[in-house]
Amino acid sequence: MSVMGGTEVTPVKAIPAKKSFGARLSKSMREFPMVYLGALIVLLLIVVALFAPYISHLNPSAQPNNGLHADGTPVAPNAQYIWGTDELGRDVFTRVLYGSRVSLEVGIFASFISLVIGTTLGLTAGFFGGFVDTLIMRFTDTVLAFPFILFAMALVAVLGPSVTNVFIAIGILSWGVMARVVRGQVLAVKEFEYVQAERALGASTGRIMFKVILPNVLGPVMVLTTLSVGFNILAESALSFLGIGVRPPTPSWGSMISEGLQTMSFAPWMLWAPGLALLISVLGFNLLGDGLRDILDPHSVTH
Amino acid sequence: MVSYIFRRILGSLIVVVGISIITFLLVYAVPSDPARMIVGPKAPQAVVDAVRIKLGLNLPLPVQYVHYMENLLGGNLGTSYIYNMPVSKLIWDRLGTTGILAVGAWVAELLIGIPLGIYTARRARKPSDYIVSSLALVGISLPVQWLGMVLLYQFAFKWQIFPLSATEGFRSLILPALTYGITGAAVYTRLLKSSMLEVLGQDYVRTARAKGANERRVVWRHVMRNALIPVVTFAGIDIGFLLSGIVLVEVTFNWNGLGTLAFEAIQQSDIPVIMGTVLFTAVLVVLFNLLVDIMYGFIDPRIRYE
Repeated sequence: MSVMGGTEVTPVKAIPAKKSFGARLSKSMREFPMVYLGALIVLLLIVVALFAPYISHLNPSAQPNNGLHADGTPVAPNAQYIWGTDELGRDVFTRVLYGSRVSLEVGIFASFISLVIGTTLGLTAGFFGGFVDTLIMRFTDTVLAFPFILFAMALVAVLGPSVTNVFIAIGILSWGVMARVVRGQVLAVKEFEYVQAERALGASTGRIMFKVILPNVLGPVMVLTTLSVGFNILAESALSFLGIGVRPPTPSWGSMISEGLQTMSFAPWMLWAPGLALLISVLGFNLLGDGLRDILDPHSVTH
Repeated sequence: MVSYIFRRILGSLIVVVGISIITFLLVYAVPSDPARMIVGPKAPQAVVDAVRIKLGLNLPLPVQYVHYMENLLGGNLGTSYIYNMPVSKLIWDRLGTTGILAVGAWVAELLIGIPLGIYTARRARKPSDYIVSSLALVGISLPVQWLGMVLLYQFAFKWQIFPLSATEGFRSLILPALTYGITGAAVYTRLLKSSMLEVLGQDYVRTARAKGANERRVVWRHVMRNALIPVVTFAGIDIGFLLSGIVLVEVTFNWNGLGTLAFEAIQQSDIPVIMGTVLFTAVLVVLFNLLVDIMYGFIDPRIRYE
């Protein structure tokens, strides 16, 4: 993936003509194919979430008459129910489509919460140092010490189960890593000469913090936020799997997995779809985040 | 060294106090009516009032916290409303079961993760590296509960190689340990790969090669020693992730440990048990991190002076 090879540098041209957008795009696609695959998956996920009613005309909570056999068992995949039906006779395909909504909603909002808390605390700790730094980092250590799923379980149990409480719980528990990374980055940037120069010129604290340091920590923050969306989607599925996330009949991939576990012996088709949907979605965000890191890394080294 | 250990212990103590404050606030300050929360929605009002008086919930919060801490220091985590038994006893009874699973899962992830990390680092930028690295990314993206279910379906239900129940000793341990191992291994693979590549690029490795040391000696004698440091650090931090993931593995495989205890407590609104397990596991994580930090001080003397 690297462009370090000698072939890129050998011909000493005059100033190269600016390449067209298309040419640059196809070059970057060849260099970082994984980012584009990740972006494609994420885009697809968003399209599915937004247009679920147009992709399947069925209702995800409806229990049609022919959704169950006469003996009450679910229907295997057929022409009408392409991924079969679940233990209540609901269409699995439609439920998987609609399940993307909860995943995306929780993934994005939880990441936003952890982004705001993590960046604010990391920036404050790194910038002011001293006692403020110690206090914030001890607090961060404390939050990071809690086993995530157990603590989220407890928090949702106290707040009550709902989509909103699930993303609030995940969001306020998962900012620790963000705070640490931002703090580390701020400590490094603070020592750069141009930051010292800004100080010497008498720039205000606010200006240095938001106009000088913040733009320099945005790269790692962007990478971490992208990765955290995937992580938070997994967390939501874990909570719903444990039956403390989203309430039925709202379809969630996590609760579909736990239903599949109950019906494994007679309806194994319910096993695959929600799990694969989860895996592919999370993989999409991880590919995107990893790829962004690959793209941003050389930048942060040379500057 | 003594001062280093002392500072670490002090730091851990502060974190433990922080943990107790957060758990305390979660039960006694966040809900609008903690007494109602503790006894559940179905209990009659008289019971709620009795609990409020008994637990001193009518007192100011700081006073309540002091009472709470007194109980904690005496090893009293409260009483389960479902089992009518001390929470500490419930936790103690299940600790061994979870411990066995945790050790199994940990061994599985190291056995899978470390060899793959070495493999990808030594074949960096070759097709085999891309394949294994892509697989590692899939491993990180796998929902552990789903992987467990798929393995359970294929190996226990369909092919019947492993038992479906969790009561057949070592044979029951393999699938759940493997489930966690596969998802956890990927982190070790990626960590070891990047740290090995970093060390491989250093001057002293080039010197070793220039002296004519063979590749095997370079990798095992010179590179691994330094490349393993971040891996060792993570292995200590991993206990937190392990305890989180194990809740899901335990529920999937019907394994009767701490995770299942907390899971059942949530379903029955058994707040003392939920908080007890959260508090206990968090303190366990702090203890492990402390141990790793102290070990680290022995391995790498530079760290003591930071």
